[in-house]
Amino acid sequence: MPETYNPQLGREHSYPYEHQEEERDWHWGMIININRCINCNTCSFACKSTWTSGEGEEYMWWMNVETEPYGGYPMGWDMRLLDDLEQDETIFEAAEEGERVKGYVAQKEEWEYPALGDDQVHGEYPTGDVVESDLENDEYHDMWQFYLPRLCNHCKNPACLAACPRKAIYKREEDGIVLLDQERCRGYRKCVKSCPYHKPMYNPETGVSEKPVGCFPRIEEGNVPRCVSSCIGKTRLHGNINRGPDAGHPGGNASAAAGRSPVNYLAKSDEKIALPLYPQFGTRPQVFYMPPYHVPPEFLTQMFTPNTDEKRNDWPGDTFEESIKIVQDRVRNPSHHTLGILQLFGATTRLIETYTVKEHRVKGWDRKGNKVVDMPFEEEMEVREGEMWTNQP
Amino acid sequence: MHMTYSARHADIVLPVPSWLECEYPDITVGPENPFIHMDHGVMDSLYDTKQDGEAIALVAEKLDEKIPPEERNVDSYRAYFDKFLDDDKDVRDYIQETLDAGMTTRDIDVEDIEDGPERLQLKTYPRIPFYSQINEDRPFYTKTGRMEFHKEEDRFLELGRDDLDHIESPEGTPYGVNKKWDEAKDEENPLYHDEEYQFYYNTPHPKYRTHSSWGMTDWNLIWSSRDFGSTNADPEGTERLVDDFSFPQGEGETEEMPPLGEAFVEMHPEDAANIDVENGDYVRITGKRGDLVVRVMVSERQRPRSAGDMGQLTLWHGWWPQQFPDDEEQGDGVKGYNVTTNIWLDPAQETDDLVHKSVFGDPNISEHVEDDIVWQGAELEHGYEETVWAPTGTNRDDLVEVEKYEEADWWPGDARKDELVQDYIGGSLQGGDS
Ligand code: SF4
Ligand code: SF4
Repeated sequence: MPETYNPQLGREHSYPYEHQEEERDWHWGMIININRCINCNTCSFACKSTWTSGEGEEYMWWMNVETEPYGGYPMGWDMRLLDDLEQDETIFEAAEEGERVKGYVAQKEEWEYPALGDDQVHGEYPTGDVVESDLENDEYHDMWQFYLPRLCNHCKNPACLAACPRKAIYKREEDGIVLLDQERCRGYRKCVKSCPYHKPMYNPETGVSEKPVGCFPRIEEGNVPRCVSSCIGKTRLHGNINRGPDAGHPGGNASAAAGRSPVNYLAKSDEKIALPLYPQFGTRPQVFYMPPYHVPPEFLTQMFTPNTDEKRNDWPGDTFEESIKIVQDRVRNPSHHTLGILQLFGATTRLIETYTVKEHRVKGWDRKGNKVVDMPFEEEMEVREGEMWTNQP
Repeated sequence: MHMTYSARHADIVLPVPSWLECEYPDITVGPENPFIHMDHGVMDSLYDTKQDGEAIALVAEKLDEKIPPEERNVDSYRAYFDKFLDDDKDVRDYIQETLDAGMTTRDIDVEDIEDGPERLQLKTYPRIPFYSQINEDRPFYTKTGRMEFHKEEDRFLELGRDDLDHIESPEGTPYGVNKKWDEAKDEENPLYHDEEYQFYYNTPHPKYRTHSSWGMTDWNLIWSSRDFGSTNADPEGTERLVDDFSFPQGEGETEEMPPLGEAFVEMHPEDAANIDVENGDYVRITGKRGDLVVRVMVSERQRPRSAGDMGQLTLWHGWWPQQFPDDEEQGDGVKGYNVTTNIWLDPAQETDDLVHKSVFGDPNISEHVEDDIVWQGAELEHGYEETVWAPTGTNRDDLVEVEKYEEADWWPGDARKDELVQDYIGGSLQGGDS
C-alpha cells in the first residue's frame, strides 16, 4: 500500500491510494468553537431539513450534536473504535487481511437514539463546597460535560473513499468535498463500516448509501453550509483551510487582503487554537475544534490529539497533554488577533477567503475579492435624537 | 398536525397552512430582538387550506351576502379585506399600512424587508431598556414616575408587600409557604416531612419546544424525548412517523398518538436505584393536588436526596397528555400530565389600582408622534393586564412523593453502563487492554 505523510500525526502511514496532488488551492474546512455551543441543534435541524427529509432517511442526522461524555450517535461510536486500536495505529494500519480499513458496522440499536444523553453531565454531585475550575493549579469542576457538534470532516485521507470497492466515492478536485455517486453505489456499505465518524449511512428504501455533501451547492455559490449559517451560537467559521500565508489577493483584487484565510490561521498558524477530532484515526479530518477549557485535559487529549506517548507533529508543547493545556489557555485568553477572527464567526453567510484584524475593526473578503464583512470589535451604540423614539413599544 | 384542545372545543375549525406553505408573505417581530422579518412560504400546500387573511376575507364576503345592507354598519365587510381575494390587488399594501402606523416601523418600506430583516426604529441600537429614563430624564411607567421599590397602593399595604422582598414559594419549599424569608425560615411547610420519598418537583421551559408548540412535530419530538426519542425502538414509532407525520398521504387524517417519543422526568441515578427504578421505568409522582405516571430518565444533574434535605425532580414543561400513559391502578379516570398542582395567582396582582404601561404604546412619546401613528395619545393604564399579570406556567413547583409504578417494556441504551465508559472518560481507552 502507498505511504502518505500525515501532518496531524507527524509521520507517514499507509493509505490505499496514491495522493493525486497533495494540496489543492481551495479545500473545504471548518472551525467549531465548542465553548460557544449551547446544544440547540439548530444546525442539526437545518441539515436534516435540507438534505435528509425523505423516506428511508428517517434516522439520518448527518449533522448532530452530542453531549460528551455520555452522548453519541451511533451510540458509543468513538469508544468502540478507540478500544479496537493500539496506540499510534491508524485505521488503515489496523485493517485486517482482505480489508482496507478497520471499522465496524453500528447495529440498528445503536442508531436508535439521536438524542441519547442529551444535556447530561458526568461526575459526583458535590456535597461539600463546589470546586471551581482553576486551570493554573490543575483543578477542574467535579462535574463536567460539553457539546460536540459532529459532521462529515471531508477528510484528506477519506476512509469512506478508501473502502469503496466500486470507486463510487470521490474527492472533488475544486474544493476537496467528498461525494458519493449514488448511481455507482451498489449498497455494499463498506463506507458505512469504514468511516470512523459514522457519517455515510445506508438508505433501506433506495438500497444505496448516502453521505454528507458539505453543502456543495452553497459552497459553489460562495455561501457557507447550512449548519454554519443557521448556528445561533456563532460557533462556526467556514472557509478555505488550504489558504496559507503566501497566497495572493483573492480574485487578483489588490484591495482585498492577501495571505491566510481565517480558518487556516486558527487551525495551522503558530497560534493554533483549533484541533481535529480523533486525528489518530488517520483520515486527516478537516473540521477543527476549539476545545472546551473547563474539561479535564486527559479526556481532551484522547479526543483531539494523536494521543501517543511520543509527540511528533508541530503542535505546541512537549507532550500532547501539554498541547491541550496550551490550546485551552489560548481559547480562554485569546490574543487580539484571535479575538478579531472570533468576530467573523457567524458575521456573514458568505464564505470569507481573507481577512484583516486591526485594533478596533475586522474585515473579510470573499474569493472574488469582494468585501463581505467590515465590523467593529465592539458594536457601536446608536442613539436616535428626539423625544419621539422609544425602546419600549 | 393534531387536534389541540382549542380545536377540539371549537364549533368551527378553519384549515390554514403552515408558514412553509404560505402563498403571500407575513411579518413577525419579537420582544427579544430588534428586527422585523418577512416570512414567505417555500412549498405548495399539502392540504386544502386557506391562509388566514383569505379565510377572514371569505367570511367577510359571506357576511355581505347574509346581512342586508340596512342592518350593517359598514357598506361592505369584504371591502376591508378585498386585497386577499382580488388577484389584481397586492396584499403587501396591508403590511405597508401597518408599518406606516407603527412608532418603530414608520420609515420601513415593505420592499426592504423582502430582502431580509430590517432593524426596528428604536431609541437605541443595541436595544437598552429604559435608556430614555436613565439618560434623558424621562419618567418610569409608575404613578410617581420613579422606579418604585416601595408601593403605597392599598393592596400592597394590606398584604404587607409594600417593600420589595423575597417571598418563599407558595408550595415547593420545606419552609413556611408564601411568606417573607424572615418569617418563612422558622416555619415548616405542612406538606414537608423529609421521611418518605419526597422531592422538589419543578417544570422549567423545554428547549426543543416552545411551551407545547412543536411538541407533536416529529423531529422536535425525537430530540425533546431525549433517550426515549428512538425512531425505531418503540415498535409503532417508525410506522406512525412515516404514515401520519413525515409523509402524510394527503388524506389529512392523523392519529391521536404522537409519532414517537415519550415524556420523562429526570431523577438522580442514586435516588432511582433506591426505589428500584432503572432508566426508562415508570414512576407515579404525587403532589398535594394531583398525580401523574411518567418514565424516569436518570440524570446526574438532578440534586440527589443525599445532598441534603430533599432531592430534585425535573420534568420539562409543555408535553401533551397523549404523551403520558394512563394511570391504570387509579380508577378515577383522571389522567395527570406535566404538573401536580395548579397555577397560583398571587393576590397582590388582583388589583385595579396599579399604574402601568400597557403592552403597546409608550406614554412618554405619545404626544410627540404624528397623528397617523396608531399609539398616538397612549396613556398609562390601571389594573389588570393579561400579558403582565396573567398567571403563567412557572409557579407550579411542588413537593411530591415518588413511587415505582411499573417496569418499562423497553429500555433505551445507556452509555454509563458500557464497560468501556470509565476508560473513555479517563482518557485511557486507546491502546489499553480493556
Ligand atoms: S468523515 Fe467519514 S464520510 Fe466524511 S470524508 Fe471522512 S471518512 Fe468520509
Ligand atoms: S446551531 Fe450552533 S450552538 Fe446550536 S447546537 Fe449547532 S453548533 Fe451548537
